[in-house]
Amino acid sequence: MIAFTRHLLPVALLCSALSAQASEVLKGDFWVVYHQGALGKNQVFIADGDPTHIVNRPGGAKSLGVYQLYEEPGKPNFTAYDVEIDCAKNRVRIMGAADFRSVFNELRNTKYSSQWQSKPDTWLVQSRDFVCKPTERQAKKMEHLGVMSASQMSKAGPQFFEILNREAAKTAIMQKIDEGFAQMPAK
Amino acid sequence: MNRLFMLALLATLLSGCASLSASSAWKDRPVGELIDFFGVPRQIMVAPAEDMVVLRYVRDSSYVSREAAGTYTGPQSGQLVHAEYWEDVQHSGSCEINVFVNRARLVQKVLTKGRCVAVEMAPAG
Repeated sequence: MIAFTRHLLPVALLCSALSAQASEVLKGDFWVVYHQGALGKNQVFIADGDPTHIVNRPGGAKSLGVYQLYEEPGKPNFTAYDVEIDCAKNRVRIMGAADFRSVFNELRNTKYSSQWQSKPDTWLVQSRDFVCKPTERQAKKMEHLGVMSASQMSKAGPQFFEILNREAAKTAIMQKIDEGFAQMPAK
Repeated sequence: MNRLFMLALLATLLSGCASLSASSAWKDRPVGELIDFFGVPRQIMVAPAEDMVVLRYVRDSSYVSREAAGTYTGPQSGQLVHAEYWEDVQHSGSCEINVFVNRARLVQKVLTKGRCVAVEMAPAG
């Protein structure tokens, strides 16, 4: 039973956060491990780094809860993943995935492959390094969000997207300024 | 006529004050910081004579004032009364902010035009 609960820790974290009756909300220690996308279509991957939530699996692997938050309308609010990481063999795979949509207020299982990934996506590589190389988190541009409930963490998404979009707009403006100077011969 | 001239002069002086304070607040600061504050400019232009790029921002500075709409003096309910009527009047206004940036991507000056008194030109503090 304990193993089952731990297997579904990301889901348990979320459900406890969503439950209005819950007397004590489970909290995680969240980190942004990766982000991708473009203006209006950003996605951010947030891992729960609480050591008590990173669970040992048989064979020496560890289980990490990762949440993929979407900016794009029509997408789920987020997908919660159970990511299994084998540091000794430097490999990673997905052991569970569920979409959460706030309109239905429910988690729905979504498709995934539980094979060890030969060419893992960047977010999975980052998730693996998050667990296997904790001293390199800052060097790998991971950002500490802090200790909070899963529902609070999910609200951080829009703020993060706002920052990403602002930075994208700023980069575009800086490029226009560069183009402006390129038009003028230097005095 | 004199009053109109005085108002126009006052507006010009106030606009000049906005330019001066904005320029001193932003002088030699990286343009990235200014973009963080003002956001996306409406237009990006070049000023070859000054060897600078100009970011143009336009802010709406419309305002509403309560003004006398008329008076009534006469009988009402068997008594002689004097009443004044007031109404909210919408005044349109806009503030144009031109930010001059040098090749080092540093702000060199900020010039304002229009009704800029109520427009925040730099972060507080």
